[in-house]
Amino acid sequence: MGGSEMALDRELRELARGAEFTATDEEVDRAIEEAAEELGESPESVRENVAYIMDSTFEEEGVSTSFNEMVSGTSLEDDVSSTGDPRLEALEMYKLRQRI
Amino acid sequence: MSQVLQSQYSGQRVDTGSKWYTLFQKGVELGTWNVEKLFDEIGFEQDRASWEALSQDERDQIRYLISGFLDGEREVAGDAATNLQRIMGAPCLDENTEKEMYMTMLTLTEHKHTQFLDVYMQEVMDDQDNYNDLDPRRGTRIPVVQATGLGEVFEHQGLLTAKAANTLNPVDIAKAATNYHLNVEGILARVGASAISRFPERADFPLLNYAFKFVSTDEGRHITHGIELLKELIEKEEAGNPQFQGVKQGIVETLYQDVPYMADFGYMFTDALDDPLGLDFNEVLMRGGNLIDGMYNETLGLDIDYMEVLNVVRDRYLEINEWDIKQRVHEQEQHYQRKRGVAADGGV
Repeated sequence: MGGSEMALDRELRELARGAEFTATDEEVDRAIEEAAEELGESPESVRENVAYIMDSTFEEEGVSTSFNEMVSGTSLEDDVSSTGDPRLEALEMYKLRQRI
Repeated sequence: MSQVLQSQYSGQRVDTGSKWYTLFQKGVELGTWNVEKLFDEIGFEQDRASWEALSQDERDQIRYLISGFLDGEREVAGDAATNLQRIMGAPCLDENTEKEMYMTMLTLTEHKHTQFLDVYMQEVMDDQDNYNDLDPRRGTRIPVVQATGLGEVFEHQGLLTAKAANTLNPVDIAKAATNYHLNVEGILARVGASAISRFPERADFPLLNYAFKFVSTDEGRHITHGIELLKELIEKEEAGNPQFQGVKQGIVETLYQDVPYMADFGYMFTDALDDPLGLDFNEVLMRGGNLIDGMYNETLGLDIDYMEVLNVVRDRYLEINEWDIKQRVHEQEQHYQRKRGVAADGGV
């Protein structure tokens, strides 16, 4: 598993109507590298799935509404138990998903 | 995400370039998280400790919110397995094979959500009667769900999806998809999830929080499916196909019919209990309005009349604010107890 069957866009964009990015790109890149090593997957595969967990829409130009309310939607900004950044939150969920 | 999703494989009967194939495949990869393994991984301990530390009023508020999800997940799972599965094979739709494949994944995840909620309530919230033993698909909803208008949305869902499964008519399918994927999954489920995100620090429920983030990820694919399905129907209407005329009007009408009862869900877990956790009914309504704008106006290009939405929600709020909600819930609890007696005697 790990998205190897599909070629996905790996760009992580801040979503319209979604939570603001709070971590730096470098922090996110480093966290993805570490997760990839931990999971035994390629960083590209992990990044693809982080992007997909944040937003599964097929819109070509950005999105008009965030499709993952608790991970990348504005709700994340209220979640005191979260990482606070939608990319890191999606990464946490992907790591947990791979364990269960 | 702006995606270039493409399988590296090709088949003959299955179009691996289809959007619905992609949704199916990503459902296989991300949607098959194991509920029992999540229980083992996170454990119930912290959730139980937090539950014990809350006041009775605060527990009731969470119980009401989760009750709405429990009945809702059971009803969407049932309608997906029966009516939506049949609709995906409708001659008026393209890519039937891939849509039918995807619907099996949608149904699986909805049943997993029910599995999580049912066990969670039993394990964490069993200090008083949760009214979660009878099946809403057989006519007995949890008392607070039936006492407020939330049950009306699920009733409408059953009627619309059954009709569409019977006629396979494009306008009927549009109405059913609007109620199910936009109103129930896209708005009700997301405003409920946003309320869980707003739990204060003293209401620390890590298992509930993680599970709902998985649910939220699954619902994202479901909403994408609904949006894409409605786009297909709208495109065919705008292309002038006579069979599809009335699709957009059907979508808008279904929102106006459901929206006052959708607002009841927010009322049910906030103002109906004086909102001890501060989940804020106005915040719930604002988030719902934002989601309506995003899905209906921006994504589908429809023209929802804000004033009409506000008016029907306000009229409904004025109506339910006059109710003795405790008395209504009590009456439904008595009804539930009678139904239990019938079930115990071998009936339904």
